[in-house]
Amino acid sequence: MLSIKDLTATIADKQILKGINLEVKAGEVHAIMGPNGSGKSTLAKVLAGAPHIQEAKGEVLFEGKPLLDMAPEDRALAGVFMAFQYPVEVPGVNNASFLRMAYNARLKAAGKEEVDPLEFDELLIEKSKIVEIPEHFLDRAVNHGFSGGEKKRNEILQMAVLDPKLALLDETDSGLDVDALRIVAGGINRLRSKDKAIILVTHYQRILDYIQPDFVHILFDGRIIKSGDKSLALEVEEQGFENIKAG
Amino acid sequence: MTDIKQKSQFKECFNDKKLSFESLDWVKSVQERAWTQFQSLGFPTQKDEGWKYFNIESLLKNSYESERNFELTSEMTTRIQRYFYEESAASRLTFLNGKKESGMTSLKDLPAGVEFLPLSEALKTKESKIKPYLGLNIEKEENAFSALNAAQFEEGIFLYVPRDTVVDIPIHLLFFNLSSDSTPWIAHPRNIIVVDEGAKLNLVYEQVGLDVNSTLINVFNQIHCEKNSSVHYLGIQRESLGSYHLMNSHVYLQEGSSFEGVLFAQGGSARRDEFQFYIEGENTHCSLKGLGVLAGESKLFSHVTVHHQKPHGSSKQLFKNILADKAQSEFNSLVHVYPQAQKSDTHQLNRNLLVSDKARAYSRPQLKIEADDVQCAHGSSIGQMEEDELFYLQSRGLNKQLARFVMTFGFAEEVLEGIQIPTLKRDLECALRIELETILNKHQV
Ligand SMILES: Nc1ncnc2c1ncn2[C@@H]1O[C@H](COP(=O)(O)OP(=O)(O)OP(=O)(O)O)[C@@H](O)[C@H]1O
Ligand SMILES: [Mg+2]
Repeated sequence: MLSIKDLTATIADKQILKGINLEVKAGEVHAIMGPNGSGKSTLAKVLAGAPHIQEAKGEVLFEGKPLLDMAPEDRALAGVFMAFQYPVEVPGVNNASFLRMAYNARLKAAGKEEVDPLEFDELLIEKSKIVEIPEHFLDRAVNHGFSGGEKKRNEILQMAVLDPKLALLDETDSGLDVDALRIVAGGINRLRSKDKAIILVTHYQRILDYIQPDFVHILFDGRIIKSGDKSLALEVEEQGFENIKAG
Repeated sequence: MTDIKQKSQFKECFNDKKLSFESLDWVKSVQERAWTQFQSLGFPTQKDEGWKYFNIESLLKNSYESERNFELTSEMTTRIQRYFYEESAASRLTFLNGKKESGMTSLKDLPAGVEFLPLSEALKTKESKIKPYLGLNIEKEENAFSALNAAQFEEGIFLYVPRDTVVDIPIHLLFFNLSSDSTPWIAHPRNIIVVDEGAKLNLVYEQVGLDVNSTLINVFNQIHCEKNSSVHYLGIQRESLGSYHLMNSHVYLQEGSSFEGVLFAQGGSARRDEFQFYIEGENTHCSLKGLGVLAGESKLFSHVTVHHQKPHGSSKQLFKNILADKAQSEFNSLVHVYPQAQKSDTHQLNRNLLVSDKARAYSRPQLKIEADDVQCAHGSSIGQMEEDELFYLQSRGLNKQLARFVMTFGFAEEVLEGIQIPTLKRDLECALRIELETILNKHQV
């Protein structure tokens, strides 16, 4: 589904990604761990098409299409979704109408008929139950004044509505209380299926108890220095990144 | 022999005393006082703080006439009727070029006791009711155009809502500025609005210019919110290019009263909107929100002063502008909290969204605080659309054009969301949508 070869990326004249190679097949869950500043968010943002990335080079194919050549919205319409580590507040833009526009853009791109606000409301209410978001959040401006945890839940709500093929979840588990973590993990697990893939960036082993990854990768200073199965996450927890690097 | 008239520059009116109501003695004496005040003030210059960005020189050297040729064609009637709202079908007063148009006016739905009539009539028939208000504080007037208006106004309205009377249907006051040729035109409309104790008023004040240029409209509004009264005010300005608009509004708030205003401005060449709020009783509330959508060389100068003279008053200002092309905006606001006005709670916020590199916004929220137990917040921002917000919307599948539109519309919506009249709100949102689409299409990034 996603194939990354020799991906490098520069931000503000500094090389952040120094040659990433990664293969993700449909049905798989990949966890990415790594110290602060190692480039995890940068990787997710390069894939989503963030504008502040100065230069991204290498080959990235999503379902055979060169992802780096596509506009951010076209990547989204093709089925890529990034849950932001720091979801952006968009004052003045209503959460529910925004989601409807995004949903309709999706339908339109797939050659289907758009839904009207009433039909969409039904769908939205059903989806917001999954992440246990109270209805009044839907009527507020996108993320505006939301608490940290509420923003993360809102990201998962968006994911549930847009139903992407590839979900890039950047520290969606950070800042969540125990109940919220369970709810969010439940929302993510619902997306798991044999024709979808998830890349999960995290600092904690705990979420991996809910969402069992098929692979764990360690990103260190812009490179994947080690890959393994779920046990690698435990190793990180016990030894820390420096020891793993020292091998 | 030639019939070309030598046109005099507008500023020469300073040397040429002319009062509009010589025939009514009591009005004439007010106008004499106003004229004296005008003479002592003189016209402002660009050196005056309040006129720094306004091109006052070009306004003063133009020439204007107070009569205008105009023929009401059926095509024009149709265009005018587009500005009528069903909510105000029987509470509307329409003026065409400063004169009441009876065929477009209906006041059937007004509750008993409400007076709503042209000022020229009211001066003749309601003398005792108007006397306390006409020319009030004229000796303290600091704005020369307000003083000039008081000396030379010809028309306007008088609106009186009696004690405990609730006017819940919106009253629609419509001024059209129309011309069959390009005669430069000047008018000084004067409006006196009195909402008596415990009464409620919902007023829409709309000024529309259709295909006109070279006009100078110098409005003066005086709004009295008596004890425990409440006023909703919506000021709408839709102008064609080439027009100057000056509007000075004085709002007096007595104990327990509230005033909520929303201003919407679109088009026009240069518009200066000045509000003075006088808080004269305890526990008052006033709020003023403004939205300017400016393109071409449009300029909007917003000047607000809130005089917190009594305790427990709250005031709130939110002014937003969207600026394209070479448009300019100014927000110049002063909140003055007097020594006795403890527990005042004030907000001033001005935000400007620049859609082009050549647009300019000037923002000066100021505070003068003489009491110690008060809460005063103020802020302003001037900037382009936030790139990370744009990316966030795009990353959910909205194309860039739609994302920009959604953000800009959302920016403006905060001002319009308070409008209580559904048809009118839809209409303004529609006008906004069309304007923003045009602006954003022109300024692709
Ligand atoms: N807009 C930017 N301007 C300058 N430097 C940036 C920018 N964005 C990221 N960086 C730098 O790129 C490096 C990688 O950042 P990134 O956010 O990808 O790290 P991360 O692995 O996600 O860290 P964390 O675990 O703290 O979230 C950091 O050194 C960061 O300072
Ligand atoms: Mg990160």
